[in-house]
Amino acid sequence: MSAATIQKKADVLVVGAGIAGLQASLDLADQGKQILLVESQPSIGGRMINLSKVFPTLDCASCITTPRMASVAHHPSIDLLTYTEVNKIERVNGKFHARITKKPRYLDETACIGCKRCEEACTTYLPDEYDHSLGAKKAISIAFTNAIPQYPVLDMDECLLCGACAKACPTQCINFMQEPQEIEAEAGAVIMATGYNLTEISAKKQYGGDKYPNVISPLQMERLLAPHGPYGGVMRPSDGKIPDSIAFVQCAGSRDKSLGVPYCSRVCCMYAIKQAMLLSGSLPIADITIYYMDIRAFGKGYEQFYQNAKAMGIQFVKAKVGRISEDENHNPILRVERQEDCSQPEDVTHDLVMLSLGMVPAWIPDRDGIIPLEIGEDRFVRSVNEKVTPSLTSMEGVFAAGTMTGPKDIVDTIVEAGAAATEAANYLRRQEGR
Amino acid sequence: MEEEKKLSYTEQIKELRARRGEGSKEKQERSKEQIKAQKAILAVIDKEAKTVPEIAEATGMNTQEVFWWITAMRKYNKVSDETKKGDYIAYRKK
Repeated sequence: MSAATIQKKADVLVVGAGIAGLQASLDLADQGKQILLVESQPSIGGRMINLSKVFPTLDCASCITTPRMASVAHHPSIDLLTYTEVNKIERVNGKFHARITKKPRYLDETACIGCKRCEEACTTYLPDEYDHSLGAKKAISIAFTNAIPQYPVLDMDECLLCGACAKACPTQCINFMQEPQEIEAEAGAVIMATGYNLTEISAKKQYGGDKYPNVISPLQMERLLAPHGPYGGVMRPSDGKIPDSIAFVQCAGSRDKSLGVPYCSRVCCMYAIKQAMLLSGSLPIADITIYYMDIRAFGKGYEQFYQNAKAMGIQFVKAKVGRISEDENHNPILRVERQEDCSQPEDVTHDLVMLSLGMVPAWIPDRDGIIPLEIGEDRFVRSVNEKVTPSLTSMEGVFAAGTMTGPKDIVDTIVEAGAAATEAANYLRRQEGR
Repeated sequence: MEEEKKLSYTEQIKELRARRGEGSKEKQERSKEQIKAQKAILAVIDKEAKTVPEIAEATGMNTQEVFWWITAMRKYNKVSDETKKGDYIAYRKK
């Protein structure tokens, strides 16, 4: 242990501050448990804060997530660490010991007032990962408008070292020499809520997702539809044209053994339908087509949501898209084989195409280390009692919340996060009784 | 770490530039290119609002690059949306 290592103690260590980690932390903290919540990104909120609206209610995603983010940040029983990585968790004599690294933001968080003057002064522009590279950020920037906490991160790899940010800072909080901070934590239980990634847009070579600017991912489409999206409306990335014809290609990253993702990602049909409905609202005269294999509308109100989309004039075409190319104006051309009526392959040109990519685990124990939990054939963490207590993992005292055990929608994620919190509280009580 | 904090910004920057060596020059060149691209676009939309294809034609840049810069400058309050011209939005320097 180095002299600079910080020691922390909590009842429960929660890894990941997306909607599952936030919910589990709040449920436990409201019971009086001390929580150490660790998030690798500069802000809490996870994927959900990135979305426009949620299905099937079309509620604003930010309006659901932001109050929980604020509650977590202000809760007296939650110790929140952002921009921080958990390196290792070990179970010793019934307690969990974690080695954690707080990455440098290159500023003193106790002095920063979140005024953004450093960001305004910076002259280096970079692709903004929050907008999935559709928009731009500066080399020193706050992650997004309603980020929590409101501290910027300086990207030292891209920084020009011009000193403009330091000169602009009214509190002199910039520290170009800041080092990572090592932390050791002890907790009675652990909740892992590490979330999901989407399959790579480049994975299916025949769709050209990495080559064609107007073939975009679902999360890019979410940003286009968000009220504070990068373009201020729905436009296509190649030239800012407001699209007249938009296509959705379903199962573009799931149910595909060639990608190593043979399972259904469960939510793609619904998010595509939701996005199509939102597009129909913002671009009323646009043609919107969903190319699908099957529509899987499994949850409460989902079938009605699908029927409503059809009634709105969204075209559902049962077809396989064999490949995508583009013309000289970057219009994507889809090679389509219909599975109903005429099956003669045809080329259909659209202005913008969204590939419904599949869900894969963001953290895989045997690939990424940290803690050796068992995984299933699908590489998601294996729940040892999936039907009755899905949050139980293969290690006693470690509980899973959200999409780390498999693809699921936001409703199920929040419910399972609550279940993980209850299981963790029960486990702590049993431990205290020993 | 305490000792490092005592360094002035100028000293910190000097030390980090020395550690970077040639890497610093590459970044400065890239920054100059970025400034050049912004200036070229802003010059075209200084007096009159123009669409991305119109700006691309006037600057010789490709439409995708122009749109990315318009998006960036729009975010940082250098450019505003003006009118709709056909299927495109026309932008103007603020």
